[in-house]
Amino acid sequence: MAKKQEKAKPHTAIARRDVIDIVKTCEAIEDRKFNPFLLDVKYALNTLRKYLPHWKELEDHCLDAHALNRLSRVLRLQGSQLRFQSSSLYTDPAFLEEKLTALSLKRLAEILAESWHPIAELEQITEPSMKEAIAYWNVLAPVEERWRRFEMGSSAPPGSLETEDLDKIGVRAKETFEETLSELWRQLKEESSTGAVNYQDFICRENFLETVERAVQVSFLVTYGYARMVRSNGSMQLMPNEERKLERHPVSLPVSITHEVWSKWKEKRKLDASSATK
Amino acid sequence: MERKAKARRIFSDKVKRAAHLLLFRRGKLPGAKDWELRARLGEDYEEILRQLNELLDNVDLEVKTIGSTAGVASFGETLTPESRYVTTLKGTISLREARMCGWRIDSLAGLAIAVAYVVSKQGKAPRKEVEKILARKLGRWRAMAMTDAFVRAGYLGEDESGMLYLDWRTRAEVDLRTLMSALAEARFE
Repeated sequence: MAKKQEKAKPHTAIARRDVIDIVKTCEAIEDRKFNPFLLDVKYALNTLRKYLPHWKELEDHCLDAHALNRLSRVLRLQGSQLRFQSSSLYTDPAFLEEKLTALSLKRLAEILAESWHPIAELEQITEPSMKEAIAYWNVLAPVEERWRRFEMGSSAPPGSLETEDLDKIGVRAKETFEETLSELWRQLKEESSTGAVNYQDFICRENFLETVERAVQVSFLVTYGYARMVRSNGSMQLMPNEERKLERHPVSLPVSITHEVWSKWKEKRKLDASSATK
Repeated sequence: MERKAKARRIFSDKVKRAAHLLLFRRGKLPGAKDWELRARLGEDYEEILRQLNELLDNVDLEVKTIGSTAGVASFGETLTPESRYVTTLKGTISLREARMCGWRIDSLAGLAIAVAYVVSKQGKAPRKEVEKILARKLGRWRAMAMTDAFVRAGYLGEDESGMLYLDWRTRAEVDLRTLMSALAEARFE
C-alpha cells in the first residue's frame, strides 16, 4: 500500500516545473503575448490541486499561492475580453491591422479627425515669461544693425548646380536618415567585435562637420536603444546592442564638441595611429 | 428683487472664474481638478459648470470630465474617483484646420494607427508591436520618434514593462467608438 502511495506521489522537481510553467504562461498572457482563452484554467487548477497535498516546504506553498494569484488574473482578463468583444469597440486585431496597412495616410488622418475633439486651452502670460521676454527685448539689437550683417554687396550672377553640389550643401540626401543610422549601427557592430569602442575614436573624423554629424547620429542610436554608452577608466565607451533595447530609466549625457576639442581628438588619433604602425 | 439680482451677479462671476480655470493652463496638464474647482467655486461647482457648458455650447465647445488613472486602465475597470475637467471641441475639425493647428497629416494618421491598435488589443499593447505597425506606414525611425511624441503629449502612456496604454489625452479627445467604427467601415483603397 505504502509502495502504491509512493508511486502516486509526484516527483517534487517535476511538480515545481509544472507550477512554474503555469506561472510563466499566465505572465505571458498578462503581457498580451497570447490570447487569455489559450490557457485551460480548469486543467491548471486541477494540476495545482493535485500537487498541493505533497508540498512540504514554505517555498513550494508560496509558489502555489503565486500560481493561483496569476490564474485569477488570467480569469479576470478572460472576463474583460468577453466584455470587450461584446462592446462596440471590438474589432478583430488581424482585420484591423490589414485595414491600417491598406488605408492611405490621408484617409487615416481623416478618420481620426472625424472622431477627434481636441482640448481647448490657452497659454497665458506669467511673471517669469514676461521677465524672460523683457530680458530678450533689452539685449536685442536694432533692426538696422541686424540687417547690416546680411548686406553682402552686389550679388553674384545666377549659376547652375550639379547633383554633387546639392549633395554637399545638404539639399539632396544620398541616403535617408534611416539608412544612415542602419549603416552606422552596422559599423559599430563590426568595430566592437573585440570589445567596447572608444566613443571619441568612433565619432572623430578628418572633418569637423563630419565629426559633429556622426556624434548626432550616434546620439540617435543610443536614444533609440541600438547602442549604449558606458564610462570606463574615465573615458566613454560605446557598445552596440544586438537588437533594440530601450533603457527603463534613460539618463541624459551632454557631449560638447568644440573645434578645439575636435583638434585635440584628431591629434591624439594621429599619435595613436603612428604608434600602432611602429 | 435686489437680492436676486445680486445672487445672479455672483453666480455669473463664478461662471467666468470657472471658464478661466478651465481654459487657461496653469500647471503641467490642462483643465482643473474637481477639488480645485470646489475650492475656488464652492460646493455648487457642478451647477456652475453646467451653466458654463450651456454658454460654451454656442461656440462649439463643451466641458468634459476625465477620470485620472494611476498607470494602466483596461476596459471595464473603474477609474479612480479624482476627476479632471477640461474644455474640448464639441464638434470635429477638418484636416485643413488641424494642419493650421500645427498637426501634420502623417502625425494624425500615426495617432489613428497607434490608438486603434491599442484599442484592438483591449487597451494595452507592447510598444514594439505599436512601433512595428507604425513603421509599416511611416518608416522605423519616424515610428519610434512618433511613439515618443505621443507618450510625451499624453495620448499614450507607457508602463514599466514596456506596454503602451491609452492615456488621459486620448480619453479626453478621441471618441473611440466613432474611430473604431469608422475604421471598420472604411473601404480598402
